[in-house]
Amino acid sequence: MSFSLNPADFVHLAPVLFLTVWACLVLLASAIGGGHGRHYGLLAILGLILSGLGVALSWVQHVQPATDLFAGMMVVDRFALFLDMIFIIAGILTALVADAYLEEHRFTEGEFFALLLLSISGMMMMVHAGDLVMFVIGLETMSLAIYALVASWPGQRRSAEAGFKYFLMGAVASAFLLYGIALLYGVTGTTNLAKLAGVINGKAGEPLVLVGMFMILGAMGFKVALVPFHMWTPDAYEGAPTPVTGFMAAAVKAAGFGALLRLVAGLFSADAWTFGSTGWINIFWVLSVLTMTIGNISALRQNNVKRMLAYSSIAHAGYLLIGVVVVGLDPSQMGAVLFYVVAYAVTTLGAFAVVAWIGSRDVERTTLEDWYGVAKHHPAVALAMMLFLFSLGGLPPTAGFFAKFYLFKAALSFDSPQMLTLVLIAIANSVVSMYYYLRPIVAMYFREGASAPKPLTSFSVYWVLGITSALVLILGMAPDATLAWAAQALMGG
Amino acid sequence: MDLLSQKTPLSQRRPFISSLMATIALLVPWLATSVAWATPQAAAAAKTAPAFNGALWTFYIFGALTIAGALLTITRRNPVTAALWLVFTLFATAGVYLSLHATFMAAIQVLVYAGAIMVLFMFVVMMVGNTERQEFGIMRGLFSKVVALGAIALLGWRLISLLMRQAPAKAAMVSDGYGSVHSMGGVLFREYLFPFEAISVLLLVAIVGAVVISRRSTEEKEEV
Amino acid sequence: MLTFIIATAIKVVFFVVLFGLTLSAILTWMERRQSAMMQDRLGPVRANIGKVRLWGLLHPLADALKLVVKEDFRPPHAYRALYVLAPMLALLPALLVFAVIPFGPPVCIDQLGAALADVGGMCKPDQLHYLQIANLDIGLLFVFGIASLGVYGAVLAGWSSNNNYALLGGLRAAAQMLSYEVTMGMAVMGIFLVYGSLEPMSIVEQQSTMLDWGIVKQPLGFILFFFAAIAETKRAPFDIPEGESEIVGYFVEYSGTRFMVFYLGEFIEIVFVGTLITTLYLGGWQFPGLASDGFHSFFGFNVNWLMPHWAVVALQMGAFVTKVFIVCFFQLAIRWTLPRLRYDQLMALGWKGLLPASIFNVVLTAAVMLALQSVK
Repeated sequence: MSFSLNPADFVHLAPVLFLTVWACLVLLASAIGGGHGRHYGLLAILGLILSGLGVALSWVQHVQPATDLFAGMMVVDRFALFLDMIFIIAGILTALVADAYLEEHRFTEGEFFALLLLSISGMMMMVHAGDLVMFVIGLETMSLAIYALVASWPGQRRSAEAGFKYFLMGAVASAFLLYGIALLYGVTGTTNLAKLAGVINGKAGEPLVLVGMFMILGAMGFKVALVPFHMWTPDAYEGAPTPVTGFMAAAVKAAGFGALLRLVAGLFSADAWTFGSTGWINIFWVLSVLTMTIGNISALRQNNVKRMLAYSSIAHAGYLLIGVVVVGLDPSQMGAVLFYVVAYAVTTLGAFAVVAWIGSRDVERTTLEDWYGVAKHHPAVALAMMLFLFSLGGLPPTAGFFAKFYLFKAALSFDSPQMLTLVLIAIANSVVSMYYYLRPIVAMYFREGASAPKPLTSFSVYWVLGITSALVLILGMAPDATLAWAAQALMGG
Repeated sequence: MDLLSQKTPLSQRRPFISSLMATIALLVPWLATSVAWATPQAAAAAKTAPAFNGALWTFYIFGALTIAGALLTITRRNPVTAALWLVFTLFATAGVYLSLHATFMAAIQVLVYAGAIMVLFMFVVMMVGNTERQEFGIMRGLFSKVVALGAIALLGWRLISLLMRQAPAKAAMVSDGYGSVHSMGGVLFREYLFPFEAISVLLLVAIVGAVVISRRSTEEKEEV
Repeated sequence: MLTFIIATAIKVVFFVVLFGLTLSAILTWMERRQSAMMQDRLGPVRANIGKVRLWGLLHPLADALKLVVKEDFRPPHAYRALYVLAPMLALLPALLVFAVIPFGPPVCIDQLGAALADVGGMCKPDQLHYLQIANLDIGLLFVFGIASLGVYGAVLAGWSSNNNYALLGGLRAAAQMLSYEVTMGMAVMGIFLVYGSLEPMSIVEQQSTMLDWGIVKQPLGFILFFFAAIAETKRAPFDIPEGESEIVGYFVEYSGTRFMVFYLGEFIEIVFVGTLITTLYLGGWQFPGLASDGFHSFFGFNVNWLMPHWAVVALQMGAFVTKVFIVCFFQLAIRWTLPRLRYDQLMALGWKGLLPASIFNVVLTAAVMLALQSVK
């Protein structure tokens, strides 16, 4: 294979490369400037904005997908660019919350933000990957940074435990992923996604490919917390610093589903791998039902808001899995699932921002009792939280409603009894989920608080709350523009 | 601090039945796969394949050693011995690489895994010491063992039944200089240039993450 | 095949047993004699067989005899298998690494009497023998891979002895060897860049004139490599893991033959470092100015002294042995010159001093080579 280094490749990947370099700059700045109270968050946000501008420019200027960057290692298409934008926005919002949160809880800031940026560049590498090698590297870069962020809470045993559990589970998942890739490589002799897709489509029923496929998909199931692989999620989400939890629920989940979509729609899209008793659609159908049902039922019992939101994120992974099945049946339906990802990411970031906002040093205030009477002292925040919870539950006029609406509509467009059943189960689940989404609202509005909370007073958190609730409303009432973008974000488009 | 780890009493030294179970669990799919390869189609394919040669024997010997080492690793009760058997396993893997003409991989395998990572492993194992001694025995966690064995058996059975349906692909001969330092370098710095550079970001993340997590203890001390 | 086995066996016997083991035995005596001279004492001069004394050169023999017949003592509650295994693990890598070191030029067996201008071209392939036990493509990677296993000997000896001090000594040794291995690998990277090969034979062949020697092309690399190598062999001033006089080392519970194996292993490592430095930085078996058919220039004078092949080979092997001996001598002399580093100083030097310097060396070498290439 001949090879020449094309300078244009660097331009195509400028946002990723820039963000990585910027992360090193943040690290350097913190090494020189000391760790505490220096607002490295603003530096990180500046980098994210610049990188985001690059992504936007790339989206606007986009004529045709660049599929052969660095000898086919990286791909720039609208699907990846769209996800990039989600990561960057989630990163900016997380950094805004974290800026106040970290100071309150005495974190060392520089490394935190550097890790945040590096994890985003890992996600970008993962969704831009045109080769399984690059895919693994991106995934691991993201995961390692997140493990460290989860465990980064100074002096909190729970945080360390959460990081450790997450790391252990993630390592097992990575091992499965690598075994699966090794099997695929063993059969086909290539790791390039495009070539791989071509080869395995001609090898219907090859058992090693089948085993490899399920190992890879199972590993991705770990990463996005589908039900038989979800055990780590509540502990990791609860123990992690709250901005990190929000980031995990929004960006990591988006990245995981992006990667899953890329794999099922780009790699295992042939009928032989999709349908039948050994096809992944049947299995994902079952996993989807299990994930949303078990996620919702477990969330019913939670008194801890953070833990409840963790289970809610599992349930939402179940809904998103419907989207994966839909895309597997018809790749042009990508818009619905991507819109759901956006709506969920924005909403969950807002909800976790409220959870981060309410706690103060050594007092995290995450149980429902801690939330009694919040509406009386802080009506605006309570209203925003109500909005987020409605959106998570899928009530109009919020983003969550339209996201579910479009997703179910896409699922029903196939006119198949299985999809109908799936949608009916999902709707039943949504109804059940309203019960636990309403509980914090009841606590905030209809209960008397023993003590008034001492929340974060920094404006950056209020900014986040304002931005996210505005976005939730905009996506709920005027979703057309975002839907149009999401519909354009096709793989190889 | 109890730096010393005493030997386990003789009565506990042979986790005989668990290792037997693990052996069966791992060997059954292995043996069955070889049976699967002995199907008529496979036999027909084998006739056209080159005769048994030294490299193949080396491969089988090192492969068997790898599996034996891995089994011993997971059945030893003493963490230091287990770690040593893991070193042995990694060595045997390097042997497998050698038999596959991947000399560079073999050298790196020994240099990185056996020479560096496993030393750190030992380091940690010795520093921590095995203060918590778990009781082993057939009856402990019987339920999960049964479930795990069932799952493995199911997976193995499925794999075998799938493999039975078809003969393994014929192996192609490797090109001259395959797996040498020169060819590895060529591939690494041409086709795989971008992943090669991206790996350094991964390592940076690992370093920064480790520092972030481990530095906490010293800061706590300062605060106290 | 049979020729190959016989040739390899001869090489092993000659290079490892006759050269490596003998030289290290002599070094054990030399070390003590050297220290005695520096400290105005006589040192070991009294071992004798009848009237033969040989300035004390028989001392290694006497020591070995004494250690072998000593009681084989094993501390109670030691982990028996590993306690026995540890000394072997310490010795084995030190012996294995000799496999890829070239100790002489290619030899053409059937034309020993003739003057050969081009050995490779004028000799029949089946008569051509490399004075190197195994010519591996991965060459030096093999050396580093195997050498990095030496640490297991130390760690396991410390752990299996059932002695807290030994364990601490073992951990110190492991930490030190790991730390300096990194520097060693980075330092030798410069050599790889300059000579473009991992094969020691090829590296030596490229050092045909003294200006091509590694020490000239890689002065910083040489210094770093030398430091790191001394630390790897746990010699003064980096001898904290052993520190005979002050600190308890990892082999404190060992005695008799097993102790001898540790002790011998250390000196074999000294010889090995000598051969490695000679190969990489001091031109290996190259004799300054000597081509494969004799001298064409002798210290700047144009001459034409043709020599038979056997004489050239002998001269070049002699050059190799001499260089190795000088490097070993130098290693021993350092011990009686410099005080021992404290543990934190050791780590600070390794990670904050030598490692950045070695990375700088790699970058510098690469930059210079790139500049030279673009000039061409």
